[in-house]
Amino acid sequence: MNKGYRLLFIGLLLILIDLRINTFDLLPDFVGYIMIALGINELKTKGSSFSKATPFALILIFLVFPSLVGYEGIGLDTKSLPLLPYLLETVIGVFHLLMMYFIFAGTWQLANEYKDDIWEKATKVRWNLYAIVHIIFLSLFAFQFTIPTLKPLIVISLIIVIIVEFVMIVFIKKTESQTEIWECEET
Amino acid sequence: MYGTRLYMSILAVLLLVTGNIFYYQNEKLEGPFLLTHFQEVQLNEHGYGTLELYYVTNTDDKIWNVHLPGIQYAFVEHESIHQETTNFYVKRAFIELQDQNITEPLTITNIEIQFSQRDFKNFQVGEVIILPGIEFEREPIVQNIASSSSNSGVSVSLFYVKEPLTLIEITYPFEKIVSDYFQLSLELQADDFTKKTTGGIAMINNYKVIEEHLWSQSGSPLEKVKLPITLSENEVFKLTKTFDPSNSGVFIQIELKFMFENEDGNTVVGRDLVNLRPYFSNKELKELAKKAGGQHE
Repeated sequence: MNKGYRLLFIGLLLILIDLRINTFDLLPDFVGYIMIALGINELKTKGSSFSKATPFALILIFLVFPSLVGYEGIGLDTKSLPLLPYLLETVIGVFHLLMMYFIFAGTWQLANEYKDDIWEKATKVRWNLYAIVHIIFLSLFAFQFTIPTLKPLIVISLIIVIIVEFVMIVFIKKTESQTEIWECEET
Repeated sequence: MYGTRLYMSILAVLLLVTGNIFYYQNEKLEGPFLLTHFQEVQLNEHGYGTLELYYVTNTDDKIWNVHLPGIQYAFVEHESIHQETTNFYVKRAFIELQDQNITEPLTITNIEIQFSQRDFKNFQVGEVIILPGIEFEREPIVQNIASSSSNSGVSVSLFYVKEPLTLIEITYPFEKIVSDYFQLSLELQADDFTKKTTGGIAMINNYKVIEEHLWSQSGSPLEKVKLPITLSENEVFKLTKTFDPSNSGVFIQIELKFMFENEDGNTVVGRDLVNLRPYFSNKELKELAKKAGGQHE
């Protein structure tokens, strides 16, 4: 079980860290989603919610592919087609949120199954924070073309999203250790 | 675990996205457009001058290159956001000009501009007059000693003359057009400053007296002033400019010229800058964007 969470942790970390030379992403997001898909695969026998996250992770592997070299890198004229990256980023944001929801729902189910009230509560609290921050960001992001003056607010909310994403990654790492305790208690 | 709430929130986000895409498609600008300028650019003795350009955009557009017909060099010195409304930015770019070969005033109505990641395009600018390079007087005979402006659109300038002069005429370019945007009033100060101070520099430094004169009665409208008027040495006159706040959709930067004649019959020129910057509401900008014709879808 902890292998599943380790893969989730590495996958989420790869998505969060963006190291680029020119426009080329040295830590490609699609590799991150492959790791997540593998992690979910490890965990799906432990809870039905994990299985529901699989299709989103698989779709995201393909959706984030253009970010490997950037939109200009794949010959997309973002000036004449500004809506395409915007739509793609929105879809990625929504799918990522849904995938994370099922991962957290699965974690919550696991904690519930092992009667770990503290972890169950911690999962709920972190998920609430994660969902609220992401929904606010996606709502603001929707206005980026129609109200350009909102851009500073969008940037601020993006920074908060990144911080919360990091908090979640740490939580996934802690859950990896927690699963060992649950398994020890079980045996 | 709060699945319904999440689905409802995502549905709301998707509705927002759809609504915004429709709104963007209906309202988007095909590209930035220039405001109407009535501007004089006075080149200095080395042929340098600065043109202020105002344009409207709803993206991160910047001016990359600019070409003014008849001007040797023109480049963007810097630009900034002059005003931002809900949907638009009004940006101001300072264009450095250089041309030592201009000997006659040059009128420009169209400018070629390359905005970021776009091709060069011809834009109507209004009317810009480039004045040939002159050496500015270090100690002008007609000297501006104080200027002040208020939020209510009133700007006051105080001048004094260093020698007896006769004011023949007050002129400014684009008079028929720009006179709709402001009113001028002239006032002669009967009690001269020299009685209160020792004259010259001492007079200029006497801010209390200057302030009293600046905001005293505003004088007679220019059209009612009968010229010529004779001013004695060190006499002070005041010019009040009252701008019409409802007509601020253009950029006006011109020089008022006070044409004097001295005792020897020579012409002496006094100068005052008229500067009206554009300000809009979001609604006004939307209407302006629609009027921008081919530049707006």
